[in-house]
Amino acid sequence: MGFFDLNVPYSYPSQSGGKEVAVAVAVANKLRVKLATKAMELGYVGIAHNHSIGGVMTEKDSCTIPLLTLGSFIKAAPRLSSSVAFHRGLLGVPRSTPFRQYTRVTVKLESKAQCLGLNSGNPVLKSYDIVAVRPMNQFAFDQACTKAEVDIISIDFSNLPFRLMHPTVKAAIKRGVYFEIKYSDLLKDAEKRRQVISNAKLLVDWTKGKNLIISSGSPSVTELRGPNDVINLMSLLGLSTERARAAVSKNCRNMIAKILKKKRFHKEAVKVELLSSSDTFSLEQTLSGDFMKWDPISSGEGDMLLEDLAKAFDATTRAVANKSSKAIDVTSDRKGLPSHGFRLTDILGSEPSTQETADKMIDDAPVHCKSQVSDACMADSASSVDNLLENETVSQIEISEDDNKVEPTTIVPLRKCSTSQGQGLLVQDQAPASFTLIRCTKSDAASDGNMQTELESEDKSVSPSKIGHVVPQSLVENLKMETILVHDEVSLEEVSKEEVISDHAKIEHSVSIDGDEMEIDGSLEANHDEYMEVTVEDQKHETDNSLSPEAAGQDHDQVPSLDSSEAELGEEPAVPYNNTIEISMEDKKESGREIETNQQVHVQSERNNVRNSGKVGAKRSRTRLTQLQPLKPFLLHRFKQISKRRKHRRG
Amino acid sequence: MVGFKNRFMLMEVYLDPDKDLLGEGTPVILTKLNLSEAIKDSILVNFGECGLASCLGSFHVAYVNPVTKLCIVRSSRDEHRRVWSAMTLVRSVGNCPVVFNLLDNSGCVRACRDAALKCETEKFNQSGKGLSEEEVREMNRCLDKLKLL
Repeated sequence: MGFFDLNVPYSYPSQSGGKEVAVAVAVANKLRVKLATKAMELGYVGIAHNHSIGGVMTEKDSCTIPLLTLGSFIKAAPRLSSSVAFHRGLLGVPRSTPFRQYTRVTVKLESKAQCLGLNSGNPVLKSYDIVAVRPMNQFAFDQACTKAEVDIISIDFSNLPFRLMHPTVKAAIKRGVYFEIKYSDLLKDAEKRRQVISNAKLLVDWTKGKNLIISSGSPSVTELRGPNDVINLMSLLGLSTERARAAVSKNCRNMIAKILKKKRFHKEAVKVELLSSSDTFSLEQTLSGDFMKWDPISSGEGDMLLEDLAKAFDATTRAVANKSSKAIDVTSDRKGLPSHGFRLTDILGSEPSTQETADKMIDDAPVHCKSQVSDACMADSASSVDNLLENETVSQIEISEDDNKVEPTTIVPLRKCSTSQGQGLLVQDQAPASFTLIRCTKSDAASDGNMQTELESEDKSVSPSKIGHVVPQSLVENLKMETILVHDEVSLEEVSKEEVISDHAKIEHSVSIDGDEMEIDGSLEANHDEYMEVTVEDQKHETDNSLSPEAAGQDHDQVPSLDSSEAELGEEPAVPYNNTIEISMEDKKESGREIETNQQVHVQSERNNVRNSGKVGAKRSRTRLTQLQPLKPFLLHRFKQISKRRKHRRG
Repeated sequence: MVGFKNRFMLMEVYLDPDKDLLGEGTPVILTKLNLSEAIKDSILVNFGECGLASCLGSFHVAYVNPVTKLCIVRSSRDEHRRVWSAMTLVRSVGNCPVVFNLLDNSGCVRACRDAALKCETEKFNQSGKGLSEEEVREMNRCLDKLKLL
């Protein structure tokens, strides 16, 4: 678990010119580089450049903090990489952890007017990553704890003009605000030390280390201390070792993850990523590291890898976050999507119109799509279908969440085959693009190659022989769709693994949605009007189960016939896969809406990361595949029960 | 069996960190005496007479290497946290501002010695420009002392 120092002071060059100022600026910058270098050398994994502002906030207070580049580090200390590696080894931090930089602002809060300005709409504050507030009087403190939308409340303990109140502190913690203690005050002189210890002890007792972060705030390199030393110093304040350790590492990390998620994603949006079609997915081999490139707390350009440092070559090589990818614009997507969900005709007919919205959402997707469609009969349309599908699914997710509507959300990325029947009932997409839908809580929206979610499409083609019982494949009605999200507590080493479903040569994919905790064999009863297919994918792809996409407006008897004779469905094998599955369920509207295409989304998350969307009835859980297998019959039964219950309720 | 429990703390000392991260010029030479004075002072200021008295029993600077700036400090297990905090709060040795950084904390000399040897070699490799003859000799001397610990 990496250690963070989230208060490295940064002073803005003042506007007025003049030689002295220039010198001062140069000195300040040099100090910053030195501090950052020292922090990195001592084993810290992330720092935040802190800019303090007071008084009236103006436009020019917006963030213009330049993140330090590799070059500046190398210049300051050419031997840095070996020293860093040495210290990291001693601390137990993996050497490949990137060094991250964030930008932070500390607002001196004095008056009521300033408090009102501290909301999330403030553009000045939005330009920084982390927003901290330093209350100067009682009123400001109360406001900061209870109302202001800030991330950190930083209190200057060396001269505390107001009193800390237990209920206020409790309220702040409940809201999710973090308190910060600066340890550099302890190092200055005896008088300050006395004040800090006596004042901060109170805070420590009340918070018990929860929502507490420790940072240096050191004005010079002499006041910077290594992580272990800081942890030990906190024992003077009454904080136990493990809580102090958490305060320096875990709490910081959680806070940053939360902040970045809020910044980069709109509410509970999902990110869709395409896998390369060239990789075949074999159930036997474990997932290669290539797929897990999601970096949940990446600071974009600020990230620095040790190897780069060691090579001392180019500037930061870390993925550059595409900062322009802001919150997904739901409204614009909506225009492209019919509210009742997608019908195949829409997909086929409206491709051009929705192309843009798809592009807007995911930058790399089109590129990936195109490159991947290999055998598809219609490469372009398929790719646009992919886009669309991604688009739809994601926006549908949003819509469904926002509106609480039931959307026929399963859409199978279908490939259009010349031999497919029906009015394109089954348009099955050849592109072995597997899409896994994951709701990202903290990823960069479009960092290159780091698309975190993929819609996994898995095939469900049913061989003709199995057609008979395919049809009323089970769907659980009225399950709301939620994707479970990948979550905050990602350990640094782990990256989300996305499952790639292989395509066996001809591949038809269907995306399966996993019901939470339930594995459904695919043979559950389904209401003929609504259904939801829930399957748990088996990595072994045992073809015991089959699910069929439903034909639009058609009898359910008409089983989508598949060109490929392969039937693939499966239960996921527990074994090689030690990541948790994200489970999502979808809701469908009751009244006989027919859904033409199903898309099952298989969502996966990183290990330990699942988060519920919190919708009514949402049941999210994370579960390990290994654990699911023995529970299968139970889960099946349970699922049936739930569906029946819900049917009754709705009815 | 063993009445006395000790803790051996392997620390690294950064001399004058503000000035120049590259420079090898040492403003002050670390010796056992220097360091122990500085640490005792710090304990006195921060923890008072009684604090110093209780730490003094097992307190001993066991090894100092002025070239790689490593040192091993021993203290009793009960007081080792206090001694450690005091060391962290040390601001200067002689006239030179210093920063202490704990590398390893172990219960027996053997473990500490092994860790120290490892760290020594690493630090030695890290030092950029070739060390002068004098320094190399000094280094070897210290290593010998270390092995005897």
